Amino acid sequence: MNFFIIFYGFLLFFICFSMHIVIWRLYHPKRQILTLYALFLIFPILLHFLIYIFDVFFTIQNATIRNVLLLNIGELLELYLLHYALSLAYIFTYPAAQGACPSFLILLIIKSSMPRGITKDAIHSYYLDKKLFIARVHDLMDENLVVDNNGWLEMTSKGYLLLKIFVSLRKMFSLPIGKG
Amino acid sequence: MSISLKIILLLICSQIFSFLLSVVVLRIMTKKKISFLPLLIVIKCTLFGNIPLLLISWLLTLRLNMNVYGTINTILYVLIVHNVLGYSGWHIFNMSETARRIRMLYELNLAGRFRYDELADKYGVKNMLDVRLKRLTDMKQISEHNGYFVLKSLLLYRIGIVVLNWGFFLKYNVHLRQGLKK
Repeated sequence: MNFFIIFYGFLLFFICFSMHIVIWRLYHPKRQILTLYALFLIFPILLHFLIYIFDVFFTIQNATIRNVLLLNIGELLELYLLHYALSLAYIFTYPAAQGACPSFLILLIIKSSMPRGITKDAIHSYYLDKKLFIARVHDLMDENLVVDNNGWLEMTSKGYLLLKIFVSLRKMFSLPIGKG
Repeated sequence: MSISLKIILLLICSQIFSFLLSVVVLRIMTKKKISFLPLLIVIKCTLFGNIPLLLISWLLTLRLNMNVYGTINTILYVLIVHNVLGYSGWHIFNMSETARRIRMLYELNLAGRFRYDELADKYGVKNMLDVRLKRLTDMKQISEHNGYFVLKSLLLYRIGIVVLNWGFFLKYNVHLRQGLKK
């Protein structure tokens, strides 16, 4: 295996990552996770396809792009596997940054109280902001997992499917449903 | 079969192996009622998967008479992909443990439908805090002395700082940033 497979895999990831930063700094897409999947998983294939077509009509001189165009199908699979692995890792980490992961907030609150420490009630008063809860409900609605039906929250079939996947996973591990 | 396909097949097998190993270990520990932290078991199983992967990929490079650079690059590639995919798998498992959204869907499924406030009550924000404090204690990140919680390790705290700042950089949770500055 050539080192450039690893290099191009990371390069492709950083191209998508940079685009994600630019878009998110300008505005927040409504369906964020879906947009991330499109940006990281579908966009590179479309871009690759467009470069191929462009190369047919106007031969590209750039050495890096030429090398990528000359990759065989096996090398392309390796490159995309690395890119997809990195992309999925980022997409799964993203909700912690977007939704202010509660565990991280707890650690920050405790750190600010050091060296004395802090009681559970004090953490409770800091942290139990309903904004965090309401924001998650809005996320569920944005992703079409839950709908607001005249003030009543109801689950959609998409939400039910997602829940079923997680419940099945827990059953497979012989574990009870997570406590949230 | 080309070398690329062999490597990809090997990586698929290593993920399946790590996943099945986690299932078996967790099932055994649950059955024998051994106290454990499921998240750590999943991490350890993924890390353990590196051993057979490393061995098989090295044997593969020997069989294909790869030079030193080819061998190093192949091993580097499989280790990166295996562990990065393992990290994603661990996240999926983590979501099944404590994701707020999954928990809300679960409560909603049990009741059929809810009003906003009912869901907040049912979801039990205090319970959510208890679960996280227990998990952080089990992970040895915090400890409790005479009713006071103190930081025991800076590892997760530092990761948290990076992740939260990343959120701020993407213009999320601005109200939290102001609160934390105070």
